[in-house]
Amino acid sequence: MKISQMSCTEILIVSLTVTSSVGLLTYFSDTRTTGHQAYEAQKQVLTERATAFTEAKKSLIDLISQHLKNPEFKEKSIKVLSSKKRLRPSRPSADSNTNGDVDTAGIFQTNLEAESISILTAGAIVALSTEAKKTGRYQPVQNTTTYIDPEKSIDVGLRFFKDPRAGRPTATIALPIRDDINKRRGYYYVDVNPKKLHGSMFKQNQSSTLSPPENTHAVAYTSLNRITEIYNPIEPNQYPPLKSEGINNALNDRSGTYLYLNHQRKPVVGAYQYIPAANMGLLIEREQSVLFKQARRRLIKILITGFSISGIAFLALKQLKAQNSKKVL
Amino acid sequence: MKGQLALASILLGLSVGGCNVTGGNQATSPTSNDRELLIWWSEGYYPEETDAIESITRQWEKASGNKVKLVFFNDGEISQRATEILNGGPKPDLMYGYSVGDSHGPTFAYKGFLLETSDVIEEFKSDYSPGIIENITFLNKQTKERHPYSIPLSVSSAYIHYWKDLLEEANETDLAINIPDTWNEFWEFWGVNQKKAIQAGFVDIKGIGLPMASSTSDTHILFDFFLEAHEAKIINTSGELLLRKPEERKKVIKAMENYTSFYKRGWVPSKATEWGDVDNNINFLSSLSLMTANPTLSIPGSQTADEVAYYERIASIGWPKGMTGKKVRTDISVKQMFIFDTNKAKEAKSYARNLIKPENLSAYVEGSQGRYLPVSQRILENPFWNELRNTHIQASRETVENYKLAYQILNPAYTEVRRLNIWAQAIEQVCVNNTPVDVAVDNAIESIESIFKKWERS
Repeated sequence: MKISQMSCTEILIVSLTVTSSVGLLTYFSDTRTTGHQAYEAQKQVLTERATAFTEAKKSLIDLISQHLKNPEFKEKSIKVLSSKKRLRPSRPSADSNTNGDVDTAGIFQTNLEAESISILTAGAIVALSTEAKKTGRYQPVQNTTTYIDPEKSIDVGLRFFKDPRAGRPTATIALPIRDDINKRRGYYYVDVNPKKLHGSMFKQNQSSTLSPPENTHAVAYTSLNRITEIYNPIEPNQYPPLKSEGINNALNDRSGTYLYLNHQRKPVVGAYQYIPAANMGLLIEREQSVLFKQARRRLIKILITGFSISGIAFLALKQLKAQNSKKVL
Repeated sequence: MKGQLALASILLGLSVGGCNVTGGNQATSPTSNDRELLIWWSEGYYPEETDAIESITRQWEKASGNKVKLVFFNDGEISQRATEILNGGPKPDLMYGYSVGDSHGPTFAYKGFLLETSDVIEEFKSDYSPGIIENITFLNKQTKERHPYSIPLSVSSAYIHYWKDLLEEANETDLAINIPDTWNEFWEFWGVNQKKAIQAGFVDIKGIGLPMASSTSDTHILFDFFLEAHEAKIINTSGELLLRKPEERKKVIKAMENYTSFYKRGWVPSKATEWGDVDNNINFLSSLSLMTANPTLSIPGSQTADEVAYYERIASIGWPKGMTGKKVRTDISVKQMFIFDTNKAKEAKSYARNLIKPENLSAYVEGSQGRYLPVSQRILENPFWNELRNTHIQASRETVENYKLAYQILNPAYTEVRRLNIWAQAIEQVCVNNTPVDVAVDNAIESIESIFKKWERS
């Protein structure tokens, strides 16, 4: 079929489809470039935050293990553990709070930004704590709690779990207190401040460094069938379960697309990675609707221009054909 | 022609525009042959458990010349990672998770993720306690045959623990207190004693430490005892669902009314609706409830360093008789290790064979401070499992002897009911949202039926 033999409608359809294709190809190319640039920028922020978090966690553990090596701490903590026979929280008058003559000064670190610090018996009952009401309570020293034995390795990933009493995810660390014959006599137990730990990723509380601004999500398996943020700086008491392709890939240490629907089902550009220092996934996300605004505008311009030209050409051709047919008659 | 031309152009445009680009998020995938043997393991509640498996693993490394990467996860994480495997996520060569056997094992086998283990366990088959082999014999969808698909390591059920000394203080007596062994009287007893303990000055105490949350697998496990006590049957021996039968539905409603009534009456800690797997341990061991029921002996097990607490202050007893006076039968939970179909199958089987040698298995279960019973009758003869003053182990042995076949063995679709914690969700709805029990039960039945239908279609 020669172009001269095509009807006006056929030419219009071809013109419209070419315009659509050009528009979509341009849009695809623009979003690809913008998306990739955005991803690279986010990846850089991600690396910085992951490094900052890992270093903060490492220095926290270093500080604690240094304290445990202090002979004065060892002596005092073992005295506390030896003086405790029976602990029960509800009736403090009964048997607990029997520090007696034991000197507990300096037993807890003051340079740790922790929610509380405790000394636990070998049966994991709180014998002494910076938070007095915890005395007599049981604290698991493994599974939900991160158990670190410096004799083996201090490079252990933190575990976050939802604490029903606090109503939010938390991380606790337990290290063994050993006596001179290396027998485990109890535990040094630190209730980490999740706000401080989360904040360690950000420079001077600067929550975003990119333009348009990014959202940072640090997520972990915090209870059965649930993935939540480890800390929510905007609503510190809200921890709904989260689910997205990015979260799933991050927690499984897997590669995957950087264009996906986030936990709110919004299309985002996301950079993510698994952080072994805390068994968590870290995600830096920005909404595609904001990032691809320019590309969308360009698409609309192409479509409007193309459709307008096609329309005008269609009307002109139709007019021309009508005039030609009149002349023939 | 016109239409074809237009359609082709639009499709070209859309297909190019809709393309996704895979990013540079990097991950490692253990596929090479010279890699370490990857083992995922449930971390214990106390270091002795972890120490025991680490020590056996290092010994095997030395003896075999193989390298092992032993990775520990907590309960919530290992369970979700098991679910990820079913969804195509990464898998290890070997996996051991406390609740994974019950919640994922039959599905792993059904969907062909696992290696058959008859050859590994053959040598020890005659030594396993009754019920063990049946509980690891799963159906494979492709072969339509049932075979053992895991390595049994230990076995447990759910046990009842109470503070003996607290009960005595609440009753102002040094004499042993008689705890009723009939169903309703047993539970009323703890409600009555809550009042006495509060009067004695234990102002924060509750009588019963049962979980009411969907965020712990314990709720499902313990509710199963209530179903049994009320003689409610969910699945028959042919694997058919019985919940639409009005008489069974009625029994389930009664069981759930019974279970949730303790919360409604203020005998259960208010935060029990938010508990995770470890929180009833924390609550009980913090002396905030007089009694609790718990899968495994992790509660007394955590106190072995304190002989007074272990032997004298905390006691364990068997379950009371059911509503009709019959003994309540129990699901036994076989703690089992799975061997995945990977390129390290040979090494994985060698590791498994070494672990189940009586000397190693005995070291592991005893190292776990008696949290679980060994599956081997020979190991059960060791003095460790026969100490008369140890009420915890004696109660656990009695409970496990009265076993029944778990529903997920009868029909693997029930693993999804467990994974999604359907019964626990209903219990939580009743306690948190005040949903009427019959409505919560009907919602649960609907969800279970839909799961079973989905399985039939798949």
